[in-house]
Amino acid sequence: MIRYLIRRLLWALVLFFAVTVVTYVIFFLIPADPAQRACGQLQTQQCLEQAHHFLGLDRPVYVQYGKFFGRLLPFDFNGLAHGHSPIKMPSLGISFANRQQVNSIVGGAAPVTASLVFGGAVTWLLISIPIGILSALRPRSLLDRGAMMFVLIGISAHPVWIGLIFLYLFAFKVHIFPLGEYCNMINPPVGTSCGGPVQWFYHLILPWITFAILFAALYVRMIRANVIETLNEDYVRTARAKGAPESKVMRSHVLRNAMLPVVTMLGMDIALGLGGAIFTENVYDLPGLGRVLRLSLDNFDLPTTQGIVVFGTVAIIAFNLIVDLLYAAIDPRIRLS
Amino acid sequence: MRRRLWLSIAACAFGASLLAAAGFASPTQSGPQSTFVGAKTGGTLHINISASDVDYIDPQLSYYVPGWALLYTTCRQLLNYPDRSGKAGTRLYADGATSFPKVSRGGRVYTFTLRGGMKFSNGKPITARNYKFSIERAANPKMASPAGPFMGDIVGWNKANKSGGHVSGVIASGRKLIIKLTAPHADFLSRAAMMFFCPMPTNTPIVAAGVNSFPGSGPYYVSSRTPGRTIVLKKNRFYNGRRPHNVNEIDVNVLTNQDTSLLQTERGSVDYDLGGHHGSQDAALGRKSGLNKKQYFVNPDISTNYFALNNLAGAFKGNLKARQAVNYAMDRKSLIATQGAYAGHATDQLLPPSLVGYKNANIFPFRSNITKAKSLLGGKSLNVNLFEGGSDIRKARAAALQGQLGRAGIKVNVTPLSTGVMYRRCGTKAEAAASHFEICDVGWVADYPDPFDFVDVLLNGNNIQDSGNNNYAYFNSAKYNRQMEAANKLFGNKRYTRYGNLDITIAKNAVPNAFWINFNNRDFIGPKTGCWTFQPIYASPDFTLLCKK
Repeated sequence: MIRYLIRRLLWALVLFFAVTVVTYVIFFLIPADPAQRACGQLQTQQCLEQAHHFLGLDRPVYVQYGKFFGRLLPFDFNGLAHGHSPIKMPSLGISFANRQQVNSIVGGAAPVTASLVFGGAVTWLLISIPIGILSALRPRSLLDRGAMMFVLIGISAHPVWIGLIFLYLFAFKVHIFPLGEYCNMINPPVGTSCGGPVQWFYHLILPWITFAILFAALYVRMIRANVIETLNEDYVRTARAKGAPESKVMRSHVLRNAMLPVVTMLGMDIALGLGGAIFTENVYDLPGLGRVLRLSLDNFDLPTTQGIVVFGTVAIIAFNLIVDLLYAAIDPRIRLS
Repeated sequence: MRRRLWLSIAACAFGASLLAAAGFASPTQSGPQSTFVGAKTGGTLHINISASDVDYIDPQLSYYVPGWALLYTTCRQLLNYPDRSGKAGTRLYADGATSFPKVSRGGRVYTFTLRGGMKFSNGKPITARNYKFSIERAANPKMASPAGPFMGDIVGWNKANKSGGHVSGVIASGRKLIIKLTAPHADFLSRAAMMFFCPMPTNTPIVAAGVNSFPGSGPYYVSSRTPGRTIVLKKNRFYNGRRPHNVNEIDVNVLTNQDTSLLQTERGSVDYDLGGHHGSQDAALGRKSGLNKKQYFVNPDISTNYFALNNLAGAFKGNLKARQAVNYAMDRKSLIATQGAYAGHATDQLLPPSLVGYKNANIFPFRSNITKAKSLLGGKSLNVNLFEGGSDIRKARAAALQGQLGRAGIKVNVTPLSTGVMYRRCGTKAEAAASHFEICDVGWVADYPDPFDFVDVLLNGNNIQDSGNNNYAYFNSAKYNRQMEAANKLFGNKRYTRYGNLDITIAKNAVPNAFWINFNNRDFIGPKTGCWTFQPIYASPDFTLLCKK
């Protein structure tokens, strides 16, 4: 187990290195200049030179990357040389666009995205598990055909379109839900009109549904196929032949086996959802990582883009690791070798 | 009896002098402002900024429209712009100063006298030292402020910009503030009204990230800002000036979605979106709400958009007839039609009509004249490369121009780029010299309302540098450079007349660019929002005036 963990962590480090290098290279391939934004529309050569120096863009790319990587390490060798503590908080740097600490930008946006993604995951499971199972138990029934229609729409319709339609219908025309806006569960910032767990939940219902529809459609299809396949397994037939009640057959033999791939998928999809959240966040004005990422790309703000990439990479690696460990715990046939 | 007579005469003289002083002072003291009879005061304005955030809310760092539109409510510069729409809104008046400055030593020394009794929102007095501190704060290299091009001609600014410390050309003494320039520049008064000159408490931190709240000197102050989320402005209870302040609080949500925001505004939960709305919505909004009535307003920006023609290399270099041919072949009105309803007005010159100095001249037709364009080309055809800036409306006008010029025999290859990349590439001299582009789709919005900011900044060849150019045509004529520099030394009407004539002469005789539109600002406000006034300098509504119905 320990060896497995170490191996995975080393691979994670390689992956992390590769992703951050690729982001850096792509950024410098784009012929844009963040210093121009810093100087505004009336740019003098003097201002551009100062801005390049100020932002550290006058150094070679490998030096800039080295500095970025150095800031991420939790050790401060300079501090040690000056008699200070060698332990420091890893830093993602300072935004080119607004010169705020990227740690605080990512730290402020991550809980919003987490609220959307985890709430969305719960929503898509709540939708897909009952529909998937019922469709499998009554194949080609009206319910099954309706479910497949839902799958088709869910996969085809873009979250931005769904979000706008939901907002128009349920918030603008029929005032059931709020028209965009996000409410912090705790500590709402000054100037926002709402806050607290109830408002947080209420304001996230539509975003959760919008975010969940695509995944719910995929899961309905997968759960339906898994359950149909498991229902035809020999051990299910044996259990029924031995007179086991149908509820027990379903619970202990069918669902337990049919749901195993769902656990794997869930881990991967939650990580994937971090990227997909960008659309839902933009439609519903949620100040999450997706919205910050879009703005940072517009502004050629490398530190913020890189900060979100780092955060996303770490999240994906962590989720995959957790899923692997969970999978081994659920299914004893799997060995961590 | 005799003594009483003398007293009466003295009292009369004193009264008359006060009356005369008031008469002289009123145009500058009050700052003409819009008034709305029965305007309701109080309440909170809810403003969105869709798809964007302010760069900074720190006056010495902020350099984009949303930031300035908000800071306009919080700053009391020495000179300011009135809370009025149209041309009246572009005329300077003395705000923090008692009157316009005394100008001496051939236009190099400006002496301002400050009003007494001004206070920041924290109750502390505003003195000349606060104005001096703002200039020195902007100059400090730790701030890396973009104020350089607007303050760089103050004596000692460049030195302070390198090493920090005091700017030797700014002297604060009691209520007097003396600013010395390295050379006479008549546009300094307009520059002195920019947000960079907003007075700040002398203990304001000098940090690269700026401050997210600070004591205000205008009718409001920035109470808080959470970057990427909210900005809160509150009424300054110590403000004793005559500018309006109708609502108690202005809450700003940034980075909102344009479509969602439009629904929120229609419903009235949001009063206004400073980030605007899609151009495709304007026709419907105009139909539904009526033009300039209660909710939908169209006002001209102080801006000009044009197709810069590369004068440095390629097909247009030294080819006046080819540049004229582009101007005859393009159909300005059709191009404008691609930008949505009420997008703007056709133009064939650089200075916008809303700017002082503008003189109308019919140089080129607003509809295509293909016959004339072909005759100018002498039956030859040209191949040119157009750099286009990526957004949908830019793509639409690039496609339209491609078709129009194609009919005259100018084959246009369109290179789509993102807006930022396009400006960088077009502003890089080596790209122009290598003829990577012959046409670049650019525009210019006034930093401050003086023709220098258009004519000199965009056409003076002496300003051409290796990168970050604004002279995208790389137009460089020794004759016109001299004329521009001579115009910049003039004051008052002479200055504006000279610049107005230069604008026409250059557009007619040298044809460096193909000017085509002065864009409009198209705004939509909520049904519960009133007291609309468009402030042209900040291309936004005047938030001090907006009120709740």
